[in-house]
Order: sequence, then C-alpha cells, then structure tokens
Amino acid sequence: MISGTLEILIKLQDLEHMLEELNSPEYLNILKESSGLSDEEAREKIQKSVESLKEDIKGLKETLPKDIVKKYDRLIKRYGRAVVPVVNETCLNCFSHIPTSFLTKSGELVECPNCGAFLYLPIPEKEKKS
Amino acid sequence: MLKELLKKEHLIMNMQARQKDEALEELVKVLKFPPDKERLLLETLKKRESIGSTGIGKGIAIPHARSVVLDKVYLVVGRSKEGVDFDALDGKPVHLFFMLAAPPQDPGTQYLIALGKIAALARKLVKNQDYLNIDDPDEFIEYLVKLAEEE
Ligand SMILES: [Zn+2]
Repeated sequence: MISGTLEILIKLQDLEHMLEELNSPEYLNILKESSGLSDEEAREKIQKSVESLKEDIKGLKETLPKDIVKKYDRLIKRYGRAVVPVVNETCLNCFSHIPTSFLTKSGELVECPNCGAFLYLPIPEKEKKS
Repeated sequence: MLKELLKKEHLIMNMQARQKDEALEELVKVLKFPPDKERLLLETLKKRESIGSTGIGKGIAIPHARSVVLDKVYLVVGRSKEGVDFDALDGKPVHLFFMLAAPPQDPGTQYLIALGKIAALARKLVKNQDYLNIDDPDEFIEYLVKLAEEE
C-alpha cells in the first residue's frame, strides 16, 4: 500500500510532467499534425488544458501538509522534479546509491539521503499480480 | 521504433468498453500491473483526458501520460468496432486507441518521438478504415508496422 501523502505527491509530480509536455514545442506540432487543427486552434486547446491543469495542481497541493508542499516546491525549483523513482538501488534525481535499508520501505514517504527528493521505491515482487 | 513497442499481449482486438473511463481502465488492465501502480497510472490518464480529450478525431484517440510509477515506455493498442464515446475533437466515437505511457526520466525523449510517430500513423490509418476489418492479431500488428514504416 502507498501512503496517502506519497500518493498525492506522485499524482502531483505526474501533473507537473503533463504541464511540461503541454508547454513543449514538440507537443504543439504533434497535436497539429494528428488533429489537423490550425496553429491558432491548437495553441488555444493547449492553453485551455494548461489552465485547467494549473488549477488541479493548486488543488492537490492544498490537500498536503504545508511543510511537505514547501519541500516539494523547493525540489521542483531546484531540480525540475520532486518525486523520483529508485531504479537499481539508485535515486534517479542525483544518481546516488540508496541504502538497502530503504528499499524495504516501498509505499512509505522516504527522502533520498543525498538530494532530499521524495522516493518512489519499487514494489516488492510478492505484491505483484500473478 | 513502434515495432518494438507494438506487442500482441498489449493488443485488444475487440474492446468491451463504451465509455471513456471504462476504455482507459480496459487499456491499462492489459499491462497487469500491481494494484497501486495500476490505479495511479489510470488516475493520471483520466486526469489527462479531463483537461482536454486525446481523441484527435476520425475515430482515433491517443491517451498518453508520463508517470513516476512506470519503469519503461508502454504502448497498448485497443480496437472497438462499435466505438467508444470519448469526447473526441470531432465528437465522433473512437474505434482505435493508442495508449502510450512512459516513465518521467526519458532518455532521448523517446516518449515524445513515439507520440509523434503514433500521430503520423494515425493520419495514415484514417485514409481508409482497413483496421476495422482485420481480425487476426498478428496480421493487425503487421498492418500497423507496415503502415508506420511507409513513407
Ligand atoms: Zn537523490
């Protein structure tokens, strides 16, 4: 099971990635190409999505404890991300080794001992669907 | 590139869903993730639709998202002969879904490149409706790969 705070942080981080994508020039091109919308129409559609997304991000933040939001904002400002996966016992923000004792804490709110990012630890095998 | 992502076990030839959320659920289920992971990916995809439908019109939708819970890029293809109500740009039902999901760390922006390739493939697919008439999964994948590689 994932802790409530971690779950909200993951959702929040996913929304930040969405925002980043919507704001990218690549995405504008993909949308125009696939939908046949004009440049102006595509920009307008993206703008609407961006505004609605910003509201969602704001709303989600309000459900988190203030100190967590502060930490989250600081991480985003500094690294462009705040919640990162751990792959091969490595923090994917700073690429430092995550101690084995951390790896059993999947689902808990854990911070990287080196960079302070919130960690998404791999789910142990036994919890996986057969 | 799409060839590597198109997998028979990630293909639904006849989707059961008729509504938007059901369709996303059906597409995500194919990946057989543990429950927490499945739920988080699904919520991110639903949120993406809520801020603007990825139904690009002419029967095709490309639900897509990046999520912290993913370890690699996944593509699920789902076809619905009856069509799904997906709030598409042109208001028409969606018959073909390309659901693209990727981890946030994305070396060489593989995800956006894949998204671009799917968009290009979609343009070719809508020229005729052949994809509705192929019922063999291997043949279906072969058809998509061939079309994707055509200039
Ligand atoms: Zn770190």
